[in-house]
Amino acid sequence: MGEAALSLQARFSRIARRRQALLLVLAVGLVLSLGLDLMAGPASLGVGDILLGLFDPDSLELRHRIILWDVRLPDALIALAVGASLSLAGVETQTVLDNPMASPFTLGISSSAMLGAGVAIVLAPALPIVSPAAILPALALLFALAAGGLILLVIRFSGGARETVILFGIALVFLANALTGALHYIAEADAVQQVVFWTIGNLTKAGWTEVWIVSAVVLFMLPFSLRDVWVLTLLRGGEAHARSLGVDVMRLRLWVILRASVLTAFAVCFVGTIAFIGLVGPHIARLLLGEDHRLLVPGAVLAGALLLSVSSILTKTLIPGVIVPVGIITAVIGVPVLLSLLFSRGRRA
Amino acid sequence: MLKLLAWLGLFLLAVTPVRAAPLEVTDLAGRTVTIQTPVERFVISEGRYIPLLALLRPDNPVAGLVGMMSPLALTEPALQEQLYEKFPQARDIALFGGTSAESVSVEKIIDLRPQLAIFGLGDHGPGTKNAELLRQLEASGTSILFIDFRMDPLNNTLPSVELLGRVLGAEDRAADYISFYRDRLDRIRQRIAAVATRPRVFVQAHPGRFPCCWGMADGMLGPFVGLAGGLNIADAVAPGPVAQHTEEFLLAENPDVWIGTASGTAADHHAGKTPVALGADVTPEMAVESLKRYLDQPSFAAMDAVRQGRAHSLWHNFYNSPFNIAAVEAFARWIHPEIFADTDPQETLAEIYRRYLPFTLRGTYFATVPHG
Repeated sequence: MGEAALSLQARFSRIARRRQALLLVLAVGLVLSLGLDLMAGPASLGVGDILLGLFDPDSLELRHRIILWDVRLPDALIALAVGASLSLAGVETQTVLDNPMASPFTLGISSSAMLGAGVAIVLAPALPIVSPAAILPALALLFALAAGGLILLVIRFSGGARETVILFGIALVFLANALTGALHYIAEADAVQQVVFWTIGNLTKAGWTEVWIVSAVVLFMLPFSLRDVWVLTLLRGGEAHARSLGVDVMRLRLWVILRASVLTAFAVCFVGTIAFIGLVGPHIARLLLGEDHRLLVPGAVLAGALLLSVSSILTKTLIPGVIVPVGIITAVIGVPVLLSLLFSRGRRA
Repeated sequence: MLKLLAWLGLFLLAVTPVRAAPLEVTDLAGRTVTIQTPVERFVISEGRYIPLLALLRPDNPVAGLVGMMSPLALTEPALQEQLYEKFPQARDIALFGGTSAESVSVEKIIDLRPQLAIFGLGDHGPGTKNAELLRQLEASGTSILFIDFRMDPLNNTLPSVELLGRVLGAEDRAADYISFYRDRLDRIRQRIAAVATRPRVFVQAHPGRFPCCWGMADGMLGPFVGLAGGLNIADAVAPGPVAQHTEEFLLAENPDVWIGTASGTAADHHAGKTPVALGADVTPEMAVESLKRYLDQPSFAAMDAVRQGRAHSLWHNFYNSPFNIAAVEAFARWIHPEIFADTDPQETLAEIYRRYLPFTLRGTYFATVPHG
């Protein structure tokens, strides 16, 4: 044990401690953001009212109770669930495809969801057993899962080469966009507007049912992701290296894409395709926490949820009384955050 | 003798072939347009203008109409059935597009050889910004007129009716309808001038079809609120003509009156779909049931307007219709029920149909949530 080795160890543990602290900061930020989100809105509800109303709903007058329990809470919670889902899907996808630009959206899953939503809005088909109000999310989900299924087939039968998966995903994006364009072409203006707004995303459509469903999906998937953190970290050292250590890369790819497809499909089917979270959430986590997936996976979950939660606050507060579409905000705040992290890393390196 | 001469003169006038005379008019886009009259071949952007053509020329609404971008069925399928039944030649009107300006085939229009194309300032067809399309049409000898019932309905409706009356040689019918419209509008303005209170109103577009809550501020039906003596709560916050608000905004503002523009159909209602339904084949009971179904959501049920029976729906397509006077009356009646007890918008619409149109009004176009 030389001096250098000790200091290396000391440096390593210092970095590890700092990263654990950053993870904690993200978690605390998330709690704060959720609190702020519950306080944001045009109605004058004080902190006391909200705390009281959370524990004793009947203490609030009817309108305030509805505002807290039927309007603010579901919107705030779906932001966390959707942000977490998209970011978790994104971080795993980026790793298994070894591509910093990969995200659930580059696989064509969200474009397919958009096509499904378009079919629901423009063609308004009746579906067996699905209530008319649920047709839109049902079709968005169905199309998204179908796209995921197609990608899995491609992986299965092409040997799962990275380029094949990425190119196929991008081809799916273009195909879904073209078919959505065709729907626009035959639709009435109102319907076109509806499809367009769906693609920007909107958290205010969510009620408790949606919150439970998306939360359940992300909580169900997270343990599987956490189980894979070791192999995912290995994979960051290069595919050949991981293979030589006995990692079945194709199988891993198959499982990750399956998870990412399901996560993305459920995340977008209710609130629309909120862009950018699945790309930027993971990158923020990477820049803060490094490539060790033991920290990176939970970090990405927190970063995505935090990003969408902060966006949710801004949708309501930028123009009081009016909703600014959340998809606009995620990009507008996501880009500066990403750039500042990139440049600060560039200076450090 | 004098009488005989007069008759002879009249007879001569009648048998003289009408010579094309250039007529110079200013359209609603402020363009000065020269049109060769009589107009024997013309096209319109949307089939939704056919009822207006019917008002001007009830004996044959589609006389000279050789093409349109989209059929009447897009906005009023049941009325199109009546049209086809009474005027079978309407089936032969060529279509030169789909549902948007992008879908319009200029070549098809030129091929139809219209003297005149009637477009809307803010409808779904070609607008003033489609410069190349307008240039091509004018180069081919088609004059273009812009009318408007959507961008500024309160100021442009009557000038549009008058303009089409002049161009299509139906000045008397146009003048008759204009005076009918103006009488009713003046009555509302006079009564509103005397009111002291301005109830707070929210106008919501497409309830049940669009996610909550797209408000109309200074766009489409939004300005009807001010005219009818109300205060539009979306005006203060909306950055544009329409904006999306949260349910919380509604609950926090707690408007005195809530008005939704219903774009659901009778078929939607029967299929259990969510858009609030009004229009052809909707009975008054269905209309109320459909509105109630939507307002039963907890966030709406908690609003005073809903609980006090001051939540209403009106047919969405009034936002772009020469018959929007019925909508103005509905707003007045709902915002100031104390001074408009004698006003019945559904009856006004029925009267327009009876007096001016070769069609029968079938359906319910206004509804109010039951009280208590």
